[in-house]
Amino acid sequence: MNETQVTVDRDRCIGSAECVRVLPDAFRIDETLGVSVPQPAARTADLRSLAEVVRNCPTGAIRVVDSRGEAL
Amino acid sequence: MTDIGLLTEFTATIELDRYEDVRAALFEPNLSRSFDKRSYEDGNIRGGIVSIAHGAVHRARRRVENTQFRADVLRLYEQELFPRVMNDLLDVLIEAERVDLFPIGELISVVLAARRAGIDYDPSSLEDLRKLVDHVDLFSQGSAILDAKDPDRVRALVRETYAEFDRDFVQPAWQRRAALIQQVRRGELSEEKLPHDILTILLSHRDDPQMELDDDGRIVREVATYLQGGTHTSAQTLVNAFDLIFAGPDHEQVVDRVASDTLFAQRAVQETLRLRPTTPKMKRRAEADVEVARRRVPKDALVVLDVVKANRDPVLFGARPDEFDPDRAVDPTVSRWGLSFGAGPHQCPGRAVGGGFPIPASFEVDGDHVFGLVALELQAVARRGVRPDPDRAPERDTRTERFTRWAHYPVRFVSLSGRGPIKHDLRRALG
Repeated sequence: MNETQVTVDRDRCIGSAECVRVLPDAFRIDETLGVSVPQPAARTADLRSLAEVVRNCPTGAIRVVDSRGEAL
Repeated sequence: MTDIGLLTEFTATIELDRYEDVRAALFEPNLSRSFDKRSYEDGNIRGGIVSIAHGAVHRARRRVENTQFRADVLRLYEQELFPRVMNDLLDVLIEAERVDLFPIGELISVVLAARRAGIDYDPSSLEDLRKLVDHVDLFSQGSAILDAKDPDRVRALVRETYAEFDRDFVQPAWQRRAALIQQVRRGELSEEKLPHDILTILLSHRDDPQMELDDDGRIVREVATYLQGGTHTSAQTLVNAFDLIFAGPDHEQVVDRVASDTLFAQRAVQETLRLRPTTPKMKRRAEADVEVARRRVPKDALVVLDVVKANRDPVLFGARPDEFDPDRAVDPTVSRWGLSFGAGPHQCPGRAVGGGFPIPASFEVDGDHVFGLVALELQAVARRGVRPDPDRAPERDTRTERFTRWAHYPVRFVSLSGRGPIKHDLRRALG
């Protein structure tokens, strides 16, 4: 199974929800803080979709490291 | 030094026009949109608004304002609110066989843009909407101040318009919302009962020092920014789409296809946005020495990003990138609209409102897909049998260097040929 580490830098995130649009089960927006929070499903999400999330995050707040320890 | 009529000087001018280079610049946090250092009173018509804010203030504002652009809100607008409003309003506005499409596009767009911004209007007449559209026209000149042919005149006109807009529209809406917020804070009203709009959330978060909203004028300008962004860009894109369609030899068939296929209408809108970006050349200022796209950019350099060229990269958009082809295959890692909504921290928050969600390469979408309001506008106008007006030429907006802006776009409607004006209940349309 793909065990991936997914983190969101809360200081950078602006809550654009691009990550939620691409992977709605893997991220949700904490509407109190206005930032994205990775969910357990992020760890097993499709790597191609996670790469899209990383590329499209407008502030570069999302970091994904795959099971081999390589950053997407 | 470069002088492009701004209120600061630049150490250098760097121009980028390759897609990946422009994209990298848009993501670079050290490139800001803060050009104008003078205060609002001295003439800065956009002082303190989110579009030019930088760093912590920008992040704080976007975090609360982005709540108005969540997928469920977009679906509510697109599936429930907009179709009825738009169709009833079009029946009122298209009252003759020959009409000017641009103001019609503005009027149907301003209804929901006002609702999202937090502006109340009288639903019993078109006068409020026409006045809002007049204000939007001035705000749009202000938003394109970097490309204005007579920037001092634009500044003066926009300042006057802000005062009128504040008096006639913002203050009544402000007072109503402030009273509701107080009721919520006293426990007399549920928070869910508050209006869902930009003005309400700005007033609700005004006490947060990170928002930097002490100045009343800043709130007025912020609300105006969302009103303008949701109205003018949509109307210009609608007109540009038909202009590109009418330029083709088979335009009647393309109009018919738009009328019958909503996803094709959306592709036509996204293709239009790619070829006719609202801001053809985006500009940034370097807040610090930085390297972007292998170029050294000194602090206080002007960085000019040629979005028109970037959006026509044949590697990403195919062998004939200059052509209007809504069916073109596009590299799946890029948006079909290219970089027209920007990218990075200042990416347009309303991009999905106007352009909808990204379209899969398979051209297959599910029931949750958001097509975007401009696609629905394009389709509604197409269904009424729109054709170019052979007797009256379209007129570009000559007050700006931006080639994508129109002032008038005469069209005719074959479905109305020989018929009298259609009258509908305006209160039903706008209520």
